[in-house]
Amino acid sequence: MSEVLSVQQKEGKLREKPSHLGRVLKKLPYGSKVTVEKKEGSWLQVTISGSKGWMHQSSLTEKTLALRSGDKNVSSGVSDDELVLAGKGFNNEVGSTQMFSVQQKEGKLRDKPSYLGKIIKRLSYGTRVSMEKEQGSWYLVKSGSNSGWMHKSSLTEKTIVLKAGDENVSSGVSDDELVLAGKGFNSDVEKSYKQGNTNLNYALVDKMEQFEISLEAFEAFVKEGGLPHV
Amino acid sequence: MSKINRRDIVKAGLIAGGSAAVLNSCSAIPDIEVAGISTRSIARVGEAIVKSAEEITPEQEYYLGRAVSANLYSKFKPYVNSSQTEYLNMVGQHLALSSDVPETFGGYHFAILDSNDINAFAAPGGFVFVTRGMLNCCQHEDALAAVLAHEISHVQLKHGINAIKKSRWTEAAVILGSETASHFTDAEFKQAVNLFKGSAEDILTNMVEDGYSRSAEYEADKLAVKIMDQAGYLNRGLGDMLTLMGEKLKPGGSDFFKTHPSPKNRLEELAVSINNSTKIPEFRTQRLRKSLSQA
Repeated sequence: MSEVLSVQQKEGKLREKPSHLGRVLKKLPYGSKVTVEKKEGSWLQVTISGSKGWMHQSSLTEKTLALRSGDKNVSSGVSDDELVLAGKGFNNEVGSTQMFSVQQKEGKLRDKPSYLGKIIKRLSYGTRVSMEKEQGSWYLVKSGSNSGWMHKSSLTEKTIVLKAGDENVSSGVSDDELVLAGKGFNSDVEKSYKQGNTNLNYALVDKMEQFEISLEAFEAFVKEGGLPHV
Repeated sequence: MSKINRRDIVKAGLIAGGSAAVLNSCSAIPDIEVAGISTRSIARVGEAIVKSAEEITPEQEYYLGRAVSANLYSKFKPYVNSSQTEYLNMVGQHLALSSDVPETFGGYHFAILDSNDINAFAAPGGFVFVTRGMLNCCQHEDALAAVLAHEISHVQLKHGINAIKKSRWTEAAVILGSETASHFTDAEFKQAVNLFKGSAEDILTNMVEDGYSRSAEYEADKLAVKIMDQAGYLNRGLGDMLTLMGEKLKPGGSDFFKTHPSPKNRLEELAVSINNSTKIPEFRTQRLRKSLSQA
């Protein structure tokens, strides 16, 4: 049985001869599947839709490359080990958008890549945003019609499923890509724990969380102290 | 059958009940509805909790942090003083926002405990506590920044989460893994609550009674120096603080001495990273004095 491999380069080159000096017959896009005919050293003679030529083995992988999550390959019973989800991970190529989820109780979209930036909108836990630009530790992201800056630590590449049974769970997204917020330690568990342990003082914890400092006062504090702004 | 590779399951076609497979895989389990709940989502539930020993989510860290804090407040009274609390939060927020992990699920929060013990605590997710006794040890703002940066470091290095006994995760695996063929029962929810309670108690015991390991403390000091540098505070603040604590703390005391390596050892460990030739700006010394004397 002939082996089928995938091109793991942005642009794979099908050459006339088993050498980097060989004339390029065809350029193959990332993820293209080729059939191996024979091997010569580190070079493989492959065919793809009627064309035959040579490719260096390092430009090919045994894995299936799913370009977007939701690609057909993802749900076809191929195991995770055999898959590369190219649509996820770092892929800031022109034309591709990287999606993130807000991993905070309340994410803040700001008008500048700084904590002194005005809050444009508050985004709830699990909200999906698309990254448009990166600047230091800040991402310019889009959520619906709103655009603004968020610190990268407020975001995760994973999809957050708020309830078990949510559509995302069965949509072929791999386990590693998922956070099941509805289960595990959450507000329901806390509620039950609180009811069974009346010596706990949750009221003081709530008070601690509610304590706020004003942005103006904070800005003045940093400036007067001769400290750098973030 | 503790470890089953997903690929093996798929290849062997072991796509039946799949209860043993739950620890490693869910995609091999057919999605069947049982009593309105799909088997696959139950399996994922078990996995979600079991996995969290290594990969706890920011949300779970937050709820554990709240539980630890609620316990701590049953042992300590808060010091109600909004001016001082505001000052503490200014210094703390500036440090947290200057660090590499400025955002947690619920953000960082700083509070003062009404105790003369010299102590400071950090609960998972960003809840930081400092006693009045500790505040009295700070000669200048950079020393206070050192205390807070050390506690923020414990949060970011997940020392609290790592204090949860490994046996709890094994227990979770057994409870939640074995029942996957049926629906997610009330009993299972109760077990999750018990696991939550036990985990919070593990963290609290480490924080208040046993202390973290020496290496964890040194690691937190090192990260504290980095955070202070990024925030513009002089790292000698940590050196000054440790020197003073070395003089004030009594061996065998019930506070910081019990849960931390000796200030002398911590100073030796940090020797290279601290720059003692710098001078703390007078303004920051005065600001601390003024802020902490407010009623």
